[in-house]
Amino acid sequence: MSNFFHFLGRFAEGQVLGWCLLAALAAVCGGVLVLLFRVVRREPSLSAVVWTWGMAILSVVLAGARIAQARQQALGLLLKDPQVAPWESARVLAVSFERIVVTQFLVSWVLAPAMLALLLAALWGRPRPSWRGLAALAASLLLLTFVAVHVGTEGFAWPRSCTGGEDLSACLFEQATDSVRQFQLAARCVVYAGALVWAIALLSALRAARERIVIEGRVSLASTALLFTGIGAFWATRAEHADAQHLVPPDSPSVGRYWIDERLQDQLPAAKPGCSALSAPFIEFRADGTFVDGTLRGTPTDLRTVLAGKRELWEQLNRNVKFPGLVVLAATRGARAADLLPWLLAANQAGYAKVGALLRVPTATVQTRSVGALEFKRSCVEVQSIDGTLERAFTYFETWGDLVAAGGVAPPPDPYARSSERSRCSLLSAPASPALASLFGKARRLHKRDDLDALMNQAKTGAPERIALRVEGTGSVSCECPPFEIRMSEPGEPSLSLLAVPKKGVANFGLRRTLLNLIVVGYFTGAWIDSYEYLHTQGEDHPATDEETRSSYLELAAEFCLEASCYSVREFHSAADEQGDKAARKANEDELKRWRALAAEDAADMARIGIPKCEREWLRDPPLVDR
Amino acid sequence: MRSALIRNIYTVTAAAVGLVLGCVAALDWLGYTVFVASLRWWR
Repeated sequence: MSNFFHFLGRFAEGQVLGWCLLAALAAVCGGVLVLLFRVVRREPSLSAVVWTWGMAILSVVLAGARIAQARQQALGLLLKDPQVAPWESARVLAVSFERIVVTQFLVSWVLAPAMLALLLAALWGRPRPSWRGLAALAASLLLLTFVAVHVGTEGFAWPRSCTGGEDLSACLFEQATDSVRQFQLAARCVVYAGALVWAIALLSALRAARERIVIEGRVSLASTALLFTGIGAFWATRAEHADAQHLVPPDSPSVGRYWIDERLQDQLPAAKPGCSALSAPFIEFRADGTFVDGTLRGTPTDLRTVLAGKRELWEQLNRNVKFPGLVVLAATRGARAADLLPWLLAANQAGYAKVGALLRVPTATVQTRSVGALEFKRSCVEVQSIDGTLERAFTYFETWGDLVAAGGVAPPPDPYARSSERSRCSLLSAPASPALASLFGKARRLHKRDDLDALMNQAKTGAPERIALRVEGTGSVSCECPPFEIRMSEPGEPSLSLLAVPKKGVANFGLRRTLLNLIVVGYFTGAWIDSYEYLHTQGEDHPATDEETRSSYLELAAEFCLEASCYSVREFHSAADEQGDKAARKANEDELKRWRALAAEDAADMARIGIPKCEREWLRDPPLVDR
Repeated sequence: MRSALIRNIYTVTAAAVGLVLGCVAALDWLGYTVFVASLRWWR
């Protein structure tokens, strides 16, 4: 007995509505007892029928109000950003759903026998004949409905039958779909039963009409009201019907909802195949700071302390289980990878060997009729080990988005990577003096590397020095190098390469490696450029390369703005021993002839592009540069 | 006779249709709770 009252107390939950509903149900029970008593005693039972009907309708209305209220409370929590703590929200939701289920359960259990009693009273009792058919029809349909509600409520117990399994969400979805199917089946049964009862009632009505018995005007009016009420109710519940047919599908196991900052969520790197929904401590790099599991952490040191604490706690709670050592980074695509690295290293020092990148799954929108469009923002985690490769990637890639897109692996160092500076020839103003023509006679070699550095540094200040410089073509040198070299006059000083960028209208000898010596007049720009950059200045951005030029084009050379030049043919001397055998001397002679012929060809080319031959006196040994 | 026939048929049919539609609406309305619950678990 005390259990019964305890159940009633729990059912009402202190709500006025709950107690009213209980009172109405009690009144229904009382009405049913009186009705059955009258039926058994063959006494007029109309007042008991009306009472039971009235109380049953009141119970249905109160139960509907209670269910609507509880459902609205749940919808409010589900659709709006929760202002309450998640655990409180979960508790309120659980209470709301339980209230709905319990109300349906109790009301259907009380009203089903009540409607059965009404049906009996209608069939065997003594109401007026014109009421009998309608009472039987109404009572039988409502009886069926309450039975259906009870069946639906029983089917609603699915959360309890889906606990602990791995595919929990799939199980819940299947059970929920079954539950909806039960309601549909119940509705179909109601329609068939209604059609059957209507057919019987119709036959009865036809027979009555033949006997000139007319159904009362009040009954017809009540039928009309019932018709319009039914149409109205049916029309008003189409949105609910449509939504119940399309339940929100469960997430796939590879994606999950992560409670992170909304703006950050929108700017996460895009998800890739193979990422999954994992649970781990979260490091969020928001605009307003770095947060670990929602709490602000000022420095990587703080992070290390917090993560170490989390690891210890996990290990205490999960003895004999290997610590997963995973920490998840949630950062925007544009976040600088170098800024994230200290935090990653701090996590690594705290004992976390793996890092997960939180990635954004494209937002899915589900269109509902009752609550509009629902957006599902989901994320997933891609896991990588924290090792040298990943650390190199953090320094190689500019942004977090680039790093994630490359799978956390920086490309191997490029053997053909360029290190050229940009040409400065077009940026520098040519020196006003000395005159070009006057310089050929003062052509000189550089004494040592320092001389070149001094000229380069001077150019960098924006005031280059115009000089005439003697350079040698590299046509006879076995190297992968630019076409001219600056040979220093001091013994032991290394030669350096030169790339001459001609000023507008100046004859250009290009990148061809010749057997000529040149006097070039102009100025160093201070830039070290490669042949690709030289070609860029000539409007050629995608030069064809071969095995040799692929490397030689990358050689850095001092950029020289060429204003004028002249050439001289190099002289070739026999190096062979005069006393050597005849055959060797012959071969040597042939080789010299070949070199001279090639040099003559180079000279002809120079003449053809308009470069003059140097005067003999310009080629005398120059005085040492006084620097 | 004819008016009695018409009225009787109308009354019985209107009541049957109204009740059936009302009952189906009630079941649809109750089934909607499952949809709300599906929002709970997956939203």
